[in-house]
Amino acid sequence: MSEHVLQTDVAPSSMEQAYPFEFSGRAGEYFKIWIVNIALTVLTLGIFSAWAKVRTLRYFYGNTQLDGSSFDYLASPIAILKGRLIALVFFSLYWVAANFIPMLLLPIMVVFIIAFPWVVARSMQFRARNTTYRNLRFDFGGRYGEVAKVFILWPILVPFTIGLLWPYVHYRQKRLLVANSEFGDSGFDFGAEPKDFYQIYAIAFVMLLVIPMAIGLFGGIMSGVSTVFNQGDEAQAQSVQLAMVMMGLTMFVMMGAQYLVYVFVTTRITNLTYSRSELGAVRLESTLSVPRMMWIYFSNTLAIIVSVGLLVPWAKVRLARYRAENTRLYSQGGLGGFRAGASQQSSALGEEAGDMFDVDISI
Amino acid sequence: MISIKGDMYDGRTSRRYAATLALNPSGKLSLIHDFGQLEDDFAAVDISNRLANVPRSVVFAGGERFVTQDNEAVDQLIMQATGKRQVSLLHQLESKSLYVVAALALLVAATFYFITVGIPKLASEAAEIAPQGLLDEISAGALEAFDESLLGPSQVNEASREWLRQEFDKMTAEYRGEYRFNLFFREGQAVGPNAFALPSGDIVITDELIHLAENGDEILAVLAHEIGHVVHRHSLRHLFEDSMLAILVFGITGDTSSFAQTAAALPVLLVSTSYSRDFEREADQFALETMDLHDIERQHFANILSRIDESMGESFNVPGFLSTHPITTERVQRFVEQP
Repeated sequence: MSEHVLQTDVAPSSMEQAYPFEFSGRAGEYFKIWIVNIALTVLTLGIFSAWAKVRTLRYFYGNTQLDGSSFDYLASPIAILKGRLIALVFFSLYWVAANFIPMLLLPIMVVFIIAFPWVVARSMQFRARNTTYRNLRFDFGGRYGEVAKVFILWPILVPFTIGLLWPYVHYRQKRLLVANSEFGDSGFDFGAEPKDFYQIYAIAFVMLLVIPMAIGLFGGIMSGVSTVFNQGDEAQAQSVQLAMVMMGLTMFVMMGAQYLVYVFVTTRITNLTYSRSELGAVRLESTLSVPRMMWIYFSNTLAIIVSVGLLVPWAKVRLARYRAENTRLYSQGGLGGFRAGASQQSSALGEEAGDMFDVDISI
Repeated sequence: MISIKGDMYDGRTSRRYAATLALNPSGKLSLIHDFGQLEDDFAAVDISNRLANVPRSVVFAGGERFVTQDNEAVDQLIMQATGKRQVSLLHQLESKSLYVVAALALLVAATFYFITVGIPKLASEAAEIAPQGLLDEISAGALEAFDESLLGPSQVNEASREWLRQEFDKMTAEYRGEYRFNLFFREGQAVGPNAFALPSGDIVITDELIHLAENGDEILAVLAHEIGHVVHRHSLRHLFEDSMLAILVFGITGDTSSFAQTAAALPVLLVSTSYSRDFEREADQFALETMDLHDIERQHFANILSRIDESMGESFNVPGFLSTHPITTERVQRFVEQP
């Protein structure tokens, strides 16, 4: 009986084949692109930054392979430049208002909040439509109303629930991103549930409680030890100094602990989001390891500080490679069966894409 | 005749076809793939720019995309078709080590120049054109806020206040057209012996400082320093400088990640406090000239400064490179040594 069950379980999945992502970018090569990008951006007073962005994404997408084909980024730098100029004008207004004309601050914030969902939806659409794989475009169909609800209305409610609503809001945000994405004419499906998000945040909450307690205990013991050994007036000043050093150290470690929890949450949610997403008959999977991600973030930060920023390209390539190594697709019939979506077939696509603009928003 | 091996994607499905691209003697590009063949004028196809080893695309008028790893061959094909060697300028910059080193050197020099010369100069010019109304706007409410949280009512007797006000008016007479200059007396409480200037020209001096002074000239020396802050518009310049510094940091780390931006906080602090120390030196210089003009001995500034320093005690020792003020001994030197 059990053998029989085993067989039926195994048989279909054995026909399913894994397609790993592969990243072939090299730090030395990207360093050259990166440094030329920055130098030209400086020389052109920022204008080149739009071209720099296209070249950077082309490099990273072009070096990401799946089943022998690479991704591509086709955005026009002019569209990106337009978006950046609009953002610049807006933030200049905000800066002037914030520093000199506080009266204007409220109207500007209102305009910003009203425009924000539209900008988010448009930017994500821009990014998706300019991303291709095997000459088929991705697309994003999130509408203003949905984006406003998930990125503004729901988050406003979070404080009234002492944060208990946040995992659900986060779930809704991820669902919005995935479920409105398309590749060709196939839509992505999002199968994760709110309880998965609550589980991750529950562990994070426990970590946030336990780590400071452990550190506090350690700090308390250390300063206790120092006062015992430093009796007398002369040593008084010394022990005060030591206590201050300990306090600084404790704060530093606490910040580190918070950062660890942050990495834990983002890594686990990335894994969850990928692994519960499907594209037609294709299943996605992400298996990032939390300790490895912590190590990569930590050592990347250290390397960037020590090298005064020169190791930024190395850090980015390293992270991209690790992410690619731990992301894969499963498909039964290969990856050749997708068809182009309606947007790609319409001849107006070029104009439409040119009309849009892109504002960098990372969510 | 060049022929290049690669893959073809028809733009209708995600199917991959093995394909060969060739430039015919007639000048047309032909693409032979698993299931057929297509042909287009060279001018009708769109060839992507070269970028490192990223696969190159040749897009035909019908939307078919030919993709190849053989970047060199594509460059040769373009050369044959157009008769010109057309290698992307950006790719040349990115592939030659010399250019990369030059870009790096340029960047280091530009950043250094921008931080040491550019930002202070731009901030100074921007602050110079700011009208008095703007300065009042920034200062408005600041004193009330200080009164609520940090300062108490002054206990200094009226005679001393009157004398200080008169001397203060003499020192500021020259600049009254531009700033309103008011002198306020407050009990410093936690702030201790201190004096500070708001951009509008309002200057606050604490009782503790007045008590610490051994004579009136010492107080005037401190006031002269604060007047220097107002006349040189240091608050506004500091605001502009910090804003520009923030933009610069965002420019450098912007497309990386939030942790690189956090890591940049320390260098920003170092540069920002260095600007602040420059302002203090400028205000000291102003105090020195003003004191000479009004026949106040320079030694008084040195004396009060040293005494403030002593009263602060060693508990508040910040390393020089992190301090907003230059080291006191260095500041005192100028008032003692210069003839």
